[in-house]
Amino acid sequence: MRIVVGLPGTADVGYVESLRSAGADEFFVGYVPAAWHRKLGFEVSPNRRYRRGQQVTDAGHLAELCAAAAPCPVAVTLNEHIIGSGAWAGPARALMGEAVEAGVKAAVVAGPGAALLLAREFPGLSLHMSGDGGVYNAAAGRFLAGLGVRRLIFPRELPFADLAAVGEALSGTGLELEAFVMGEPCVYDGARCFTEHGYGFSCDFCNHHSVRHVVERGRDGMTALPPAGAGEPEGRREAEALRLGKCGLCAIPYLSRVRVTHIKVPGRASVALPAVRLVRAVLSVLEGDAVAGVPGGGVKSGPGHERESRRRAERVARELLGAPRLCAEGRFCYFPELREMLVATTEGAEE
Amino acid sequence: MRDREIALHVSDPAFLRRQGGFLRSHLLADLAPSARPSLEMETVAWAAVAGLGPAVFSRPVERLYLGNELCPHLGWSDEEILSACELAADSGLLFSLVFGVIRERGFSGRLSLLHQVIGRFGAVEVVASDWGVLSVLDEVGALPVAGRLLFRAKRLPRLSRSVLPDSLDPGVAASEVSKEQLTELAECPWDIPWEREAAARMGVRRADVEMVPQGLRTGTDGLPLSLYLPFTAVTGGGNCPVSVLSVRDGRTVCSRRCRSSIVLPRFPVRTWSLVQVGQTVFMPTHSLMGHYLANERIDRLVVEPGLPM
Repeated sequence: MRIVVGLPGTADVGYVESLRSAGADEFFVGYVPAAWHRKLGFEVSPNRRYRRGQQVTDAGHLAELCAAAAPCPVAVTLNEHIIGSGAWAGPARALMGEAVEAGVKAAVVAGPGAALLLAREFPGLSLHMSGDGGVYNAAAGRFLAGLGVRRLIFPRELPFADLAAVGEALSGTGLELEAFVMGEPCVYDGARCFTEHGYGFSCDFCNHHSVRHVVERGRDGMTALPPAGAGEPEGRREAEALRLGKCGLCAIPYLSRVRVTHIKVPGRASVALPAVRLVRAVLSVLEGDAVAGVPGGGVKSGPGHERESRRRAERVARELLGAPRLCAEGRFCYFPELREMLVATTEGAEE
Repeated sequence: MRDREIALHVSDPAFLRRQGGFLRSHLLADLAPSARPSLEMETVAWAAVAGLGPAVFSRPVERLYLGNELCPHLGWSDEEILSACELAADSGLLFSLVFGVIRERGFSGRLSLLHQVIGRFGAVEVVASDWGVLSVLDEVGALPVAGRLLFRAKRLPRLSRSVLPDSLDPGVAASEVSKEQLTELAECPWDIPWEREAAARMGVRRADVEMVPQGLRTGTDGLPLSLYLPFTAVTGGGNCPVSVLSVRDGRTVCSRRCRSSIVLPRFPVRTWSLVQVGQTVFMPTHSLMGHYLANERIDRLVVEPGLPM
């Protein structure tokens, strides 16, 4: 499995080198040059991020990042749900041309239309379907592969069992499969979210989403509800871990067995923990899985190996998050149903 | 105002079973109320639809949209779908099946059901909410419709005049950029050449659209469009405030309580009136109807008497 990491607009050569040293294999980045933002601003974005700081804005800077990453490939994100005909005829086509010239090798798109367009206009690029593209079943994967898509990035909300079923159904197609395992969750699903986020103030209702006043309006009138949830974090480390959002480190050994080929570590926007630490943690889990006896890549293994591999992954996760109480409760789990299944299996074995 | 096909979206099978009067008359005025109480916002929106009078409200409904695409917990069972199809056909109404996102584990089962429906009722329209379903409908003999969750126009776009601290270069006028932004955002996604081509490859016959504040700029040709009235789905996902009412042993179990009551989260947002029901955030968009009803490409109106849960 390979580790794919997002770069913020503020990334420099040293940052890319530090990620490479930590274990990153590929990168992705948003690119919004002046020709775009002077016409359409940052709020109409080509890539689902809406602030200047999340974008590389200069072709020279992009070329430096690609050079620092080499031979690891860099993808540019063009994963807005819709790339309009005006945007394409204006700054978007030029943006992609500049990106290719700068050394970008792949593009992340979010729908079949954009895939068709880029496959035709930039046939040398590897095309990745964004998690916000909404691939929930193998039929979508087959259709998109027919348009030239080479990699599917699973939506963050896709349960493990469905992800595994898609992986199984697409075996033999040559499609690469990428899964999120870290951070930056949203309470809404990217493929069906038609609004924006990341502005950092109150019009940004998803990031600020909290059910401040919940009332039930039933036949008996308005009733206040009791508070729900597991309560407040205890101490700085728990608060920091909660800001990270979700963690799927323990799932990595299982992802490799269901044909996932790439692990995504987001990093274009702020996360509570530095991306370098996240990459090291992912690498550590991958190495732990290999040491436990399986070379990865869809090889089935026995229960002894799985237990050992999982124990190593859990240790890495707890060290990274520094919040063992919440970790044990499954508060961070990217694949909660996988955790439940594993807990049940362990309890069954112990009985 | 031109005559259009009027469709009624039925998102709850129990709602349909209570509609004896409507099923005889096909008139929206004869709809029995929902089992759950209405929000004031729903009442106001419905009054606005009623205010459209003979062009819309008083015309007989010709088609039912059957299904819930917005929440996986509210998807219809095979039995509910077959029974609703029977009821629609017996009542002399056309119908379209509305499918939500179908994940891999449920995919073949839903296709089997579709084969049954087609075998019994002939080629039916299916409103799809994901690319996988949309891409196989044509080959199984259904009539593919791209649903509202594949209508990917921005629902609440921000413009540069919203004044972000680091938004624009010095000397660039926010008002000019905002004009360009509005032009870009108003283009109908299904009219963009590469989106049309992708739709053609999937055999798409029609696209469903929603009302968005920036307007919808359409060309004279292209896919026929259906418009949802009077609500627009902004976003949605696993966050369901109703589900916190149904926590059992630390696990959330959906008890479909959104169909008998409403939980209102309050958003710290002032851009538009928003309400979340179940997993979906809606905005009432009846105030925009005038612009959309003037659009000749829209030849079907899909009416929702309340928030579709």
